[in-house]
Amino acid sequence: MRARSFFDAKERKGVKRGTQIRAAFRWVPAGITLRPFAHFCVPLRQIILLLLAILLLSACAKRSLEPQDAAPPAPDAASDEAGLLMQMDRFEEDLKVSPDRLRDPKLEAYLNELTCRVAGEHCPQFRVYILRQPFFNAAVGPNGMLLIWSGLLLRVEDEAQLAFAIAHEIGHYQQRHTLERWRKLKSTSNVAMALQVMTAGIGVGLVGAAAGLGANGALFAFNRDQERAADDFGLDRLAALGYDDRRAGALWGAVWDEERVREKELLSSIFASHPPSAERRDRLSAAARSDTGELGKTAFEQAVSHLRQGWLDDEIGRRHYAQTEVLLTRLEGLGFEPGTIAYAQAEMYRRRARTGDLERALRAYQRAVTSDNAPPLAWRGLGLVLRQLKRDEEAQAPLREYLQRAPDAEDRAMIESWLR
Amino acid sequence: MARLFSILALTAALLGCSATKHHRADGLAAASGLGRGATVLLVEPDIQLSELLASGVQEPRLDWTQAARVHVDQAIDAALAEREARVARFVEAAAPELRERQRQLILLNGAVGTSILLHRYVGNTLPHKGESFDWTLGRGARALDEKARYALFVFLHDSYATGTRKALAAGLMLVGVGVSLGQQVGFASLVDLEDGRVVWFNLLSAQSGDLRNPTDAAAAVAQLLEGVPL
Repeated sequence: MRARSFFDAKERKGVKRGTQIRAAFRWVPAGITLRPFAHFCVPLRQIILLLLAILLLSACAKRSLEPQDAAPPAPDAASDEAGLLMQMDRFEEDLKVSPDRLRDPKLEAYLNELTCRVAGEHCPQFRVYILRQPFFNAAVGPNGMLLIWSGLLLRVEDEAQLAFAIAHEIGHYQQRHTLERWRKLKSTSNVAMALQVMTAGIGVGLVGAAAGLGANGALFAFNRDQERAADDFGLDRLAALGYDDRRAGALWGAVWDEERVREKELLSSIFASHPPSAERRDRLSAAARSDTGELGKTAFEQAVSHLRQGWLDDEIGRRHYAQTEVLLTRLEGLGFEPGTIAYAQAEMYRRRARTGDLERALRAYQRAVTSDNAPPLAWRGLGLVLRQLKRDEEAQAPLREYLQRAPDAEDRAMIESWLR
Repeated sequence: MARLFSILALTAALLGCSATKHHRADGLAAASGLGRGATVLLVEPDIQLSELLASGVQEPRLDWTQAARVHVDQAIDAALAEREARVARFVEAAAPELRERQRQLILLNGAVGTSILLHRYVGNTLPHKGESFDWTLGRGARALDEKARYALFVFLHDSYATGTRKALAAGLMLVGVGVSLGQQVGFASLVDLEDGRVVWFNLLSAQSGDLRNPTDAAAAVAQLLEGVPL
């Protein structure tokens, strides 16, 4: 379930699709109805203490879990694990036909092959799904479904980094972190309920509300220890497969560069159980052992390049322009398809439309149209910006070029009316 | 699915304990049957049983769910046999494209069911629909099965409190706080595969009736199928 790990909870807030995905993971807790009625003359204090004892006792049972076998037997049907797997399987059935799922045979084949290699003896247990979501995230379920978000694929630079992300998730699976977290959640909720009981009795809701928030916060992420364990597993796999394991730290460094320019949002402190990206970057970099090793740049590039344009559109659509700017500068430096990247930069500036952005957009469109692989829309954008800058004459040539390159353009009639 | 569940819970809360209320499509007389011997396609009932923990967290239970599936299946078979309907079980198509359409139809049925609950039961009436009951999955419903005349969809979710929660509820009663001990929510719909019309729809909501045993499951199914025009 909520096998969220790579990802930054704050960013997912307010994104409709993300919310749906999250909603599907949520067990709807049965409502606790507060229904005050006539007060009996009972020793309130004793009752509350007794109730607290009941709840806290049931919260203490905890033992650590054995790692997952390569061919695990089906758990006892009466166990919480079986119930969890049932829920996951239902989620997976919905996911298979979800409109958020990205179907691309070429990329799917590549990811399946890579996952199988990374998973080793666990290979048959995994099924990979790509989600079209512009955030940096991957997740694994205890039933072996592995979710990779397009926002991660957009940010990863080579196969070594992608292999690390996958290995990290497999680490969560192999060490059965979701089950561990589910058990933790149940006991955390019991403790939260205990606080509610206490405050219901004395008529103060505030402490209870805060505790409720804390319990939900625990729902949002694996804890630091689990993340570290998964990172260690990931590094081991990278080294074992002959990849350059310094790439893991580099990936988190890049994530941190984006994270630190984020505009401040609400609720940021709740998710502190997640090790900050900078800490992960440093820890992973320090633990890297190889100074040689494979990067797998070409194989990765071949598998994703045809999809990058669409992912960049999604990324700009997030409207977190400060982060997008950092990302695009990095991608530009890597030399991925210069025309596509320049076009994305231009679109970002045009849509942000702050002072000076129109000129920035103009320069980026000009860079795009002089590159090899610019999309036809780059000429359209160039024409639009020139018109906005009241340079209608200069706008004619790029708009004509756009119509020539996109004969079926939906906005042909409008553009032609400008050209008359 | 989570949305559907919350609407169901809301509906159930509004209707109170152990209530069923069915609707028939416009133009269908209250007592009429739709022809004996019609073939009814039973789409695998969506059944899930959970344990309601002390904290209010619902923990899904595979063993209970499996048992309930068997009991509910048998009860539906018996109820339909009594009405002289022929039962066919839904089988997913082998061809990927058709299978995808079938899955979408099942999801669509969930969405239409959610709308019916929201606009007919919760009371948020649609201005243009008013009191008419003319919901449909569209002609594409045929993709579910080539031969059967009707398709029966069943949704049943139930939860049962743990001992700890029961103890807690008893204790909290004394200090004036009410705690839910679990709730059965369910709905069923009958869809005409010729034109996709929802010819009958029924909502079930009860605080009791244990789907884990065959007798109670049969009673719940009997309530759920009340007024089905077969």
